[in-house]
Amino acid sequence: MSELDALIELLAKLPGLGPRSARRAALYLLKRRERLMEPLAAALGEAAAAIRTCSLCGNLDTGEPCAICRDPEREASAICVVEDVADLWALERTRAFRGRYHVLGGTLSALDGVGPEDLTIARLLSRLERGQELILALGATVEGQTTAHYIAERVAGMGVTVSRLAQGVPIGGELDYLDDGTLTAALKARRAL
Amino acid sequence: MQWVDRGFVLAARPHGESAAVLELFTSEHGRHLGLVYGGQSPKRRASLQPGNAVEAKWRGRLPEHLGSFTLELLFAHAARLLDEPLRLLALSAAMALLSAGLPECEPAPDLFAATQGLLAALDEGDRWAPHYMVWEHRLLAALGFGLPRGVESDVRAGLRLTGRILLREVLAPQGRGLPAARKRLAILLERAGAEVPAASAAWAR
Repeated sequence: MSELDALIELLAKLPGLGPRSARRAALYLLKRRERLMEPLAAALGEAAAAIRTCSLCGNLDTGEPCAICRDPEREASAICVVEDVADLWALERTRAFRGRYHVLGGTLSALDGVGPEDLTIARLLSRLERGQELILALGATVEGQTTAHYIAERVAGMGVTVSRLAQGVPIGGELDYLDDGTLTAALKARRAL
Repeated sequence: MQWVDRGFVLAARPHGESAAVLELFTSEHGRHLGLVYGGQSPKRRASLQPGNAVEAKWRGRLPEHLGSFTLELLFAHAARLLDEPLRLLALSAAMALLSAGLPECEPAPDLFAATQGLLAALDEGDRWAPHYMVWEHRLLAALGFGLPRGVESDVRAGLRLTGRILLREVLAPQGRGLPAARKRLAILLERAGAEVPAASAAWAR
């Protein structure tokens, strides 16, 4: 296999790219060898060498522990549990949470045989201290909420306050366009004005 | 060819970057699979939660092909149970057992009716545990392992019995164990002690 074919084959494995778009991307890179291709190759090499999974929270960062776990400005009294690093990044974009995180690495799944031992639940339990708040920011899915209930049950009696994200009408959402499940959840979680 | 049928979502697994392979338990076509285009989109995923009742139109060139589904959500059972740990476990366990136990494309009308009854009982929230136990008996009956009617009136003992038979006769031969949700449901119901009602009334449904 030529170098070009190898490049196209690897690019085609990226999300959103098939063989055809990978060929276009390879051609685009080759036409911008110095401006894009070489810096990109260098950045990929450096990222692969430097980025590690934080041993405390499971975030991806160059430092160990990660910048969020090291940051003294962050509230140690609240830990937000997320399924994946992408969820952590989504919450960080909001700048609405100044506590720490814990990445579970998935959710419990009866169908796919994912059990508590396959997630970082044991590490989460070892991090918890009396008086902390545990925010379960897991998906509003059967698997996400089954995981949330499981964690809530495991931490019962540890002196930890457990909360979870609200479910309901999204900002800018119109009731007419919402699915029945979201509307049901919104009605159940209604609050006094 | 194509058909339209009502069914319950058993599972939806990602396929490629945007589609999902959906597994339904339908009224007239039994457990049936099909592709849902855009099945990983946030809007679609809400209706593809296990336990949701849907009306499905299946299209395929031949009956043995995977084919594709177009769906309309009829009732979001899953959304109603997200706040209820035990009932959510019962829903997950029932859908996982149907997925693991039922053969493909073989109608099971009695079991479908029993599943409708179970989901109604889970929605109502009252005396759902006996209905769940009786539903497992009906699942075993549909798979050819019928037990005498009313063999157990105690839900915990009944679940121990059905759990053993499901494992020995249905799941172990496929190299599977009891679904994690089913195991956990049995543990939590054992812990609930005397709060679990007897199953005598549930047998009548």
